[in-house]
Amino acid sequence: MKAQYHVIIVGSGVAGLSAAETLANQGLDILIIDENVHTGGQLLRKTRPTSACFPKFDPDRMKSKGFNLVRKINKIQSIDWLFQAQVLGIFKDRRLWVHIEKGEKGSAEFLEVRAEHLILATGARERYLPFKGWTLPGVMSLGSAQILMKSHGVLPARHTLIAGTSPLMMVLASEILGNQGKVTALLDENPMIKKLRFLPLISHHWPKLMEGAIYTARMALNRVPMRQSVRMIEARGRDGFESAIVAKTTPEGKVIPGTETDYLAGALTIGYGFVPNIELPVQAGCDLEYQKDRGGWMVKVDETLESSCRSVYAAGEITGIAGAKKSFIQGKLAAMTILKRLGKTTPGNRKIKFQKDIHTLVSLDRQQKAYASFLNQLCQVPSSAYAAIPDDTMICRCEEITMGTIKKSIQQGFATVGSLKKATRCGMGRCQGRICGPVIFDIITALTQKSPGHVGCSLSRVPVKTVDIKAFLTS
Amino acid sequence: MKQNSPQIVIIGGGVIGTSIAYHLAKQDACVTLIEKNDLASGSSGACDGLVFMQSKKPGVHLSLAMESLNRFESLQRELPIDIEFKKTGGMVIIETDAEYRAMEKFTREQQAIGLDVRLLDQSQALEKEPFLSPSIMGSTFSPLDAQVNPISLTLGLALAAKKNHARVITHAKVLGIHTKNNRVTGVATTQGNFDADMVVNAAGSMAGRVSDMVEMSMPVQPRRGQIVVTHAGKPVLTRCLISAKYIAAKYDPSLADKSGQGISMEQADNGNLLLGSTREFVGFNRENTLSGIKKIIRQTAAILPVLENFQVIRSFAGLRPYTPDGLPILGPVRSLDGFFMAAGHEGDGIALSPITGDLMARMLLGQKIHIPLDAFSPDRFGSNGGKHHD
Repeated sequence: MKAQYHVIIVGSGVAGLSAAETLANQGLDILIIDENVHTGGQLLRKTRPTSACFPKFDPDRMKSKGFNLVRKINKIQSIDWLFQAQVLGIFKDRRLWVHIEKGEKGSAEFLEVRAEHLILATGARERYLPFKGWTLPGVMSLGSAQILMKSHGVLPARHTLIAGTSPLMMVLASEILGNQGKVTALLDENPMIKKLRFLPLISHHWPKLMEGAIYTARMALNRVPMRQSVRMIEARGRDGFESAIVAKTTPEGKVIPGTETDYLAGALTIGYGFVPNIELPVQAGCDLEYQKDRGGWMVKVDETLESSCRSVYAAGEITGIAGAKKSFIQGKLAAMTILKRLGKTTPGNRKIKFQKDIHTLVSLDRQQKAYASFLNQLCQVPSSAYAAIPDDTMICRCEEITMGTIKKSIQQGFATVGSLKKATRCGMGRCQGRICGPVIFDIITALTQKSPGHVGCSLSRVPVKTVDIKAFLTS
Repeated sequence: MKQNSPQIVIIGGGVIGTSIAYHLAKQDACVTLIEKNDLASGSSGACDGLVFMQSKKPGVHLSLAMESLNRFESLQRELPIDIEFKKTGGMVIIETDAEYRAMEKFTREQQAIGLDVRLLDQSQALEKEPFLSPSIMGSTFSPLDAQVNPISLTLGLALAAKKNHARVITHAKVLGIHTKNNRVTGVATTQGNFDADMVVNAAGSMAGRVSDMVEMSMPVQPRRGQIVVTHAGKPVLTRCLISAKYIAAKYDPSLADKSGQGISMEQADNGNLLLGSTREFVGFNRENTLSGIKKIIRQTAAILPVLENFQVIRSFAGLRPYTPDGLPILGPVRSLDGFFMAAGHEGDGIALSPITGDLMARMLLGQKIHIPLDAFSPDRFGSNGGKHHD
């Protein structure tokens, strides 16, 4: 380990890896930091490369791309890696405070390291729409269910109910079926009409259509009941999830009274899309912008992915939710921007080719945006759904703050994320608002119709994740 | 609201501004509070909740604090939200012989004026707080010390003021103060102009900047205090603690330990421990530093070893409004009619907010005041800005 690196990459998902590959073999000191035990982020979590007859139609084609990257990078000697290490804070001049779970002495320790250029590729987390009973054991996000299966080899339950708005519901259902589990039903909140908005995008993204068709066929073959235009109303159970009540919605997303039905299952998994992980960019001092169709608050970057902070770049989901392909492109683009700045483009006409490559990447990146906004719109539930959350529903799980308390405080005038946090303590607990922050933003917006800039964003403080005091005393 | 009553505009939505607004509104005065961001978004929302009597210097400062303490209980009843006020009692932790001797002298002075405070040896101190480290020399104890939730206090005062028809305007930045014939006439903000017969500068660490708008120099400087928060754990502390070094750093530079600035600790109602605090002059920078966080944790864990079972969930920093003589600046300014100061409480803003609000309201409404306030006069600094304390 060195005290300073030419480039530090935080996050070894697709964006981080593709940046590392581009930067390698240029005589630069590179460090990759990831909090997981493995590389590859969510895409490659505990999966093995598979071969497909028609790679272009293979739903897992981004995965094969990812595995190729990992293979290539593993051969490169000059890159330093830190796994199971959390960046807790970023201080002035790109100084990183890193917590290493198992240091040289076997116990947790801290490390301080400086980056001349910093690429943040911290990815995304899941967005929630709280409903009655969503905190019951056995109710989990799509991502948690995937982690259960991939990292621990455990099914969420024998019978799993899947609900929400996310296209990943199909992916999870397919994985459950592949692991000999049962899918009780797949309850899609979106009406068909919302999905038809994909049609204009077909020319650029037709493999996605094939992907969808393959998944739908798999559901039909396994006789998984599929419903559309239904919203989760309540999760019920004594000690854990036992059944769910769902109701039909109008095309505008209003619940139609009297249409309630219930489903019995052992687990309920829900998915409403993703929000960018902006905690570390905020630490680094990067400006944010709000783009509803790109996941909400995200890092503001220029065309070459530099943030408002000089020499701090953002790549992948934190510049707008768009999936693996955009992350792949942006990782490369951020790396090229750094290489250009470091003058690593000579000799001769390599410079011209280099500039051309950057242009190609920039336009590829733009192409992804139309598809990304379709995807994010698909995941969005109407604002009215947040306004209609019943008063006794828990919103902030850590501090146990209900919708009723939040509504009352908003009526009293605490109608910004910052002031509502002070008035109710929502977002002040262990998770520091990582779960409820985006929900609270959506609730305030739905109830007040104020602009995103006015409502604000829950800003994290050092340390961005909880850390044992013990680690301070031993290191 | 009374007809033809004077218009009072308060600048600053921290604990001092909201307390003045509340006390004025209670008397039906015409009051408007203007805050640049959200309420309690400055130091009042980034501090601990200690209402400490023992740390005050015997004299006018301590008598003011005692007056304030008596008002917290009635505020607990009057305000529309729970301010979590508790008379927990407080201890000053003594770690060295030198500190012991100094605290002996300090407590004697306090006892002489009738403060209920006593010196405890190591075993007596551990009896009161069993999780304290056996390595301490002893402590003082006073049943008077208390704690409160500073954010709830500020918001509660603002809500109560609003109930009594005060106007509370947030997200309005003050652009200038209008004057005519050497008297204030109004305040210009990003949300329009507000007529004013009287303007109160309760802008905390920004008070100097507000005074600059009327070309008046007030020696209020921002002094950064960093605080570390743990997760909500089991009760390990019933009283609030400060270290003797804290008092030393505050009043007696000869006693100040160069390696540390003294710490404060409390466990809030819901189980979070608040560990503080640094005292740094770094301008208006309110970021946390790694060295600050580390220093706080090492020093607090030395006194309360059980901390090693806790986790840090966040840190924050507030800018305390420092004044050269360690006393707040309260009252009218001689050179500009209608301009009042209510700032510069440094680390005592929360503790002194009830009495400050009450006194300022009386002053603004021309009522009788039973406490001599000359020591707090804005005119005391003269041209050189007064002499420095540490």
